[in-house]
Amino acid sequence: MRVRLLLQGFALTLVLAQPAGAMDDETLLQVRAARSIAAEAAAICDQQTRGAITGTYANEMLRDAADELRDARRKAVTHAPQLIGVISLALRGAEAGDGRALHRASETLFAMEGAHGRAD
Amino acid sequence: MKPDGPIKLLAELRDLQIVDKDDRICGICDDIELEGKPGGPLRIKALLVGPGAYEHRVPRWLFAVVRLVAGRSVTRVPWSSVETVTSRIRLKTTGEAQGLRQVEDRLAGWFGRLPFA
Amino acid sequence: MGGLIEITLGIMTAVGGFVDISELVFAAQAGSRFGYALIWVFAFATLGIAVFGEMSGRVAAVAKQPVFNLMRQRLDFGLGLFTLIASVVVCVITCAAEIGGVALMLKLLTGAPYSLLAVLSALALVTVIWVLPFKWIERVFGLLGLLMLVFAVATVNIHPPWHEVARGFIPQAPAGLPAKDLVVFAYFGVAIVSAVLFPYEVYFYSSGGIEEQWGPKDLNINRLTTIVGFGLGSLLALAILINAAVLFRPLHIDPQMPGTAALQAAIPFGRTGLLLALAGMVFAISGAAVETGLSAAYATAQFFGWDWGRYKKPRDAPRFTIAWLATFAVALAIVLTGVKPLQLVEWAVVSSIIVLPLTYLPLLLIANDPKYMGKHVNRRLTNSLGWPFYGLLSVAALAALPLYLLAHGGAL
Repeated sequence: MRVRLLLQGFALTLVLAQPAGAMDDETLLQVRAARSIAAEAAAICDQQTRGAITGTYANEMLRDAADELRDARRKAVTHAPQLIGVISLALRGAEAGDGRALHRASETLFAMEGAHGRAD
Repeated sequence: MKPDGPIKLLAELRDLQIVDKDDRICGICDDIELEGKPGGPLRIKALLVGPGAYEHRVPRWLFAVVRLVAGRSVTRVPWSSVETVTSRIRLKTTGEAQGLRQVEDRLAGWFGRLPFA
Repeated sequence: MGGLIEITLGIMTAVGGFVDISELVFAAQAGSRFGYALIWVFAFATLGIAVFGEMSGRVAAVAKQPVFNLMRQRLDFGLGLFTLIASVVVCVITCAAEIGGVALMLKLLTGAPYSLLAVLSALALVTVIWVLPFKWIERVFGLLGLLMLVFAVATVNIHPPWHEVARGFIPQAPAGLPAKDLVVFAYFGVAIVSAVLFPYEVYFYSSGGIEEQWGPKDLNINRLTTIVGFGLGSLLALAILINAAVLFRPLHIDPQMPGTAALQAAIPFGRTGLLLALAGMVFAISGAAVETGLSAAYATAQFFGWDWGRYKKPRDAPRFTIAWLATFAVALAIVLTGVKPLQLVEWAVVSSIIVLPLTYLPLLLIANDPKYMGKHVNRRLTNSLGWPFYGLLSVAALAALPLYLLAHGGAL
């Protein structure tokens, strides 16, 4: 009973500590996951251009990234429609192996994290 | 320790591994059977081995799961068959002579047909 | 000379076998997310596994008792049975995560379908366990897992800020973190402790000691293997963390795909580095799959008093053999449902730390009991490390599930 009250108090503190207009947790999760996948795929494209990775590795990683981004876009349709555009950009980039589009998408999503971005 | 010395039944006997005279594992002492009357001396009669022996030590729902997998059998090993009690209980005889290792021996026959087994 | 070779092989096996899929994932994410701030947690957890690993090896060598024999003797039977069931579930989930991880790495090497590779990997692992003698099962994967050293070489090559790396060994939390990120940081701390101190490590290590018929004469080998072997092995995990901090963090990568870790070797060394990293991960993670699969069987057989051991032929320990075959079968079935290895890693790590206090308590009690250990009971140093560590583990176990939920599995 005491533990449950403690946890509820902790969760409430977290909610109250959020600044006004902050992103909700579910949206932030989607933004962060999509941002990282886009960034990973962009890094794959960069290394492929350098000749530092095998074609098989690049193809499989980009295919996996595209699958993850399709999943992310499906979730965004119901929960965070404002993300659909940028996730679609990342998805097109992953499908085409377009590093520039992937970098753009990743940077856009990172900017969207705003105050929730990393403390350096 | 020889079995005619003082023994703490729970701490030094129950839940100990049982090995036979050939050092093969024969199970675990799941419970102990005592004999004697109230007011008189109690003596260890037998070790009890098998899921049926620890049925009363677990909640009923948990034992229902165990019974599905392992059954409910109990094998009695007379105390007179015990040679020593140390960190393991050592028998004077083979496990088979006490009715132990039945499942092991049955499955061994089946496994013997497989390559590298 | 023979003894020196044995010790060297033992240490090398411990090094190559230290990193599994969960350490890979959490080390990479810890570095990219929080820089060097979680290094001290890895060091702390490594100290813990060295202390408890040494204890479990000593108990195996002196009392000739593996962990799950102790479980029944020192815990109430019902609690021991609950611990057994929970441990087996954790081992199965972890085994599934490892098989999934192997299949993933093989897919990145070959381009073959994931499900097919999962089935082939499981079959290959079962065959290796069936055919090879115990000592060589350990050594094959442990020694080939040393290909992962490419990550450590990459660390030196990319010139991390060593003064910041050194500062990472001081217990800390990054300054100015928002409350939510602090929760995630705490979750990562708990997850890293869980990943390094997975119970299967102790079940496998102590059972292996009994399999190899260790005696008091082997106590020095035990001490060296656990302290030096695990210590050096953790440097591999730290290398992955440091590489992530240097290479991934500026690129805003928090690896969502386990294969991304291989870029750490590709960026400095090109294709050769990539292939060494992927091959190393295949063997290291395969070794972990073998350990988890066998650990579930060790635990079950030891608790119920069945004949057990890979030193015996399968027909001489038939129920034990059925137990590890069943573990691999169920783990493979879980992989084939399509659940992602990353998700399995999360579940394994959270469920494992809840079981940890129940696993390590009997070990601490027996290691301090002169009836079992004679003159080889815990020394003051071991107890002064072991008991406080156990206390902290218990706190972490209580905090694990709330932190997992609040941090959304570290994704927040």
